[in-house]
Amino acid sequence: MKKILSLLIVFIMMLNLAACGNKENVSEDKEDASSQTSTEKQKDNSSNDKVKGEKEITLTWLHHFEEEGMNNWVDEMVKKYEEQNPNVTIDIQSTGFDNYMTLLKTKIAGNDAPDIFDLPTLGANLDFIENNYLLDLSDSVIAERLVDSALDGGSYEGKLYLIPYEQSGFGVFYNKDLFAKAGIEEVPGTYSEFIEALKKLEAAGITPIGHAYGDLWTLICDFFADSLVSQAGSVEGWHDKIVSREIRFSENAGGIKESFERMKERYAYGNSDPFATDWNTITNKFANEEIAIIINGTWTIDACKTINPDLNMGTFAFPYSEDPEKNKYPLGATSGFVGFKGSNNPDEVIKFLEFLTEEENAKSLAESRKTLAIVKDISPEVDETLKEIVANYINQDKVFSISNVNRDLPGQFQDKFYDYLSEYLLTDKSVEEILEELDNEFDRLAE
Amino acid sequence: MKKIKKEITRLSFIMPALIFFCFAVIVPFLYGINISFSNWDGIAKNFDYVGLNNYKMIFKDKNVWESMGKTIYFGFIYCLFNNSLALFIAILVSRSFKGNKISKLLFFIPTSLSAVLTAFIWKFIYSTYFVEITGMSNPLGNPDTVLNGIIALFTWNMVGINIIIYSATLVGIPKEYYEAAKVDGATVLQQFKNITLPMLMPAFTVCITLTLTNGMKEFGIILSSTGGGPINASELILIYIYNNIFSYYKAGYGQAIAFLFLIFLVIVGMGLSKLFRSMEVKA
Repeated sequence: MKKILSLLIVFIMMLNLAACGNKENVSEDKEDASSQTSTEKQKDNSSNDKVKGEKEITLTWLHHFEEEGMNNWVDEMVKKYEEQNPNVTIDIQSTGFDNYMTLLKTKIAGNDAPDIFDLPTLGANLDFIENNYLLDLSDSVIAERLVDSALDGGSYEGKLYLIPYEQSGFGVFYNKDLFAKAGIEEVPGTYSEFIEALKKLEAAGITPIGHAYGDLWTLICDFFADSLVSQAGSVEGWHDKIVSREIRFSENAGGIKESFERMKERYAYGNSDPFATDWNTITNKFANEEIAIIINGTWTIDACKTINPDLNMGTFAFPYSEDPEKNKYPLGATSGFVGFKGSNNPDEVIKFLEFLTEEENAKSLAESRKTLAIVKDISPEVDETLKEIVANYINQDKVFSISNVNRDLPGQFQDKFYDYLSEYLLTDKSVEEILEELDNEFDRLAE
Repeated sequence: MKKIKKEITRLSFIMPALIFFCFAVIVPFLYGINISFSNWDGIAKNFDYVGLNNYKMIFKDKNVWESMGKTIYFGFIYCLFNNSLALFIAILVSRSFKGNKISKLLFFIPTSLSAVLTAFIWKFIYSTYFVEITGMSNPLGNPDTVLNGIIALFTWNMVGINIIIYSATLVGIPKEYYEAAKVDGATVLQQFKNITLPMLMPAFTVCITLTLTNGMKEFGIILSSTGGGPINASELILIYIYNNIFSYYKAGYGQAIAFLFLIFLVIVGMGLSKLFRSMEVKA
């Protein structure tokens, strides 16, 4: 009898532990339980429901914004929307950009997808469209509100999926005071003038360019400042054609050889240990006037001015050519918000996304992100350096639109491409050898 | 009947652990093997089975072999460096002197730091003091030196555990052996070679097997210090697997490599421990 009793106790203990082990079941049970309680609640609240006439909705919003301004904007939007729609609760989940895509994919695969999230570009994430994960926003009022470049950047095959949150571009960001100190009077408009300026800076004892290739994305952006205009500008669909092997590196498609050579030439004017230096170090040095130039994206302005608000900073398009007319500023709208198609409340998601593009909200977005607006007819208060882009490039029709340029190569192609570019910078291999090897690698990957 | 009952009672005690193990290890593991035969991209709800295609691709993929070579290099050099340093420090701290307890503690402190923190500290040291003191460039920024740079910081992080194991074993060696050797006129070196080393064999079995396999499957410290760069020079096999699963949308292929790598690790681990066990002396 005693034995049977002890056996029984053991089994009861076991069941408890087993329940702990089986995580999936537990969470399902919990969900059931919570849905039960919520239905019960709804029953309880049925009298209230009749007054409200709406059911409780919870939306989740996953983002990766680390800048304070942008985070404040997100909080502000959620608060405002919840006030306007008392039945909606928006649950913000945030993470750093480095593991953002991993987290997002894990969540989608685990049936726990956020209702609203953002993608860095549509072109490099076509899997999301192919798997039917993105809400089609073409019929909503959003399509009418966006500026052309934003509409281009958010659409794929004629359908709007993504609402860009910024217009950004790639260029040269420089310290005006240091340029003056080195005796550079005019902004370099051609490639030889640019090299001349670098030489003058070096002679004046200033580190001309800051490279932060320890963070690989900065190498990519550095290359973009040149290549987006020179390659994509001369061969339409360069990035797609190089992957499908229609054009080849060794045939110098789109002047890739010269882009590589220019990259190596300016690499020599950089700080020491570029491949072990990270972005924070470089922006700090730039903000503290130790470095004269950073070649990167428009977010450089915000990153540096947060550290030193009085920085006398200017920007110009990377002068890849000797013809000043060709040196256009690459600008586009690619990163943006999307809605998850499998959401329980797709209509509410679209409604919320529409809310984000309302004039007032889009204006505060542009101001907190310190970027150019993506919605028509609003004039946010922007930063002095950004105004230079508007005055010198946008208003003078010297912009090269990169909204439609599929600038990211798919997965492994991208990694390999920048591996070989790094190898070219770090070793003595000739550009011909590197391009030949790149062709072989791409041939293999394309199989 | 009574016997069966007794067996059930016994079995029921391991059931909780066994069930937990099943759901936390066995089920995901089997599911992973299942995926390795598919073309799953990592996010889609559905996928097709592609038979042995993933496994065939591994043998054609030169990246796998390159990262495997780096992995083996990393594992062996790390194992060698870690164990010789640990043994050296263990011999020093297991002597009786004032403050040997505190020095043991000091050597163990780095082990309590996480991989991310270690990488952060060493990235700072490498980019400032290291450059100033040695005049060399930052090892993490150069493809030729990056693996050695990571081995150094990883050893700093992990050496404490081996020190503990070695010094515990050293304390357990009977003093009589040394006294007898002294009487026979053995030099310090001879004592080390003929007494200390053979008596340490059980510790070698544990430490060498564990550090070698741990080194080869290290992921966190590499991801947080270099992420596999520059020019893939520190892309060990686990980073390559991670890239396939999460960045290249090739989860099935990544799983296939992971499965083969697991088999490789099991063989290496079992082979090594068997080899060392056969060399142990029965004291």
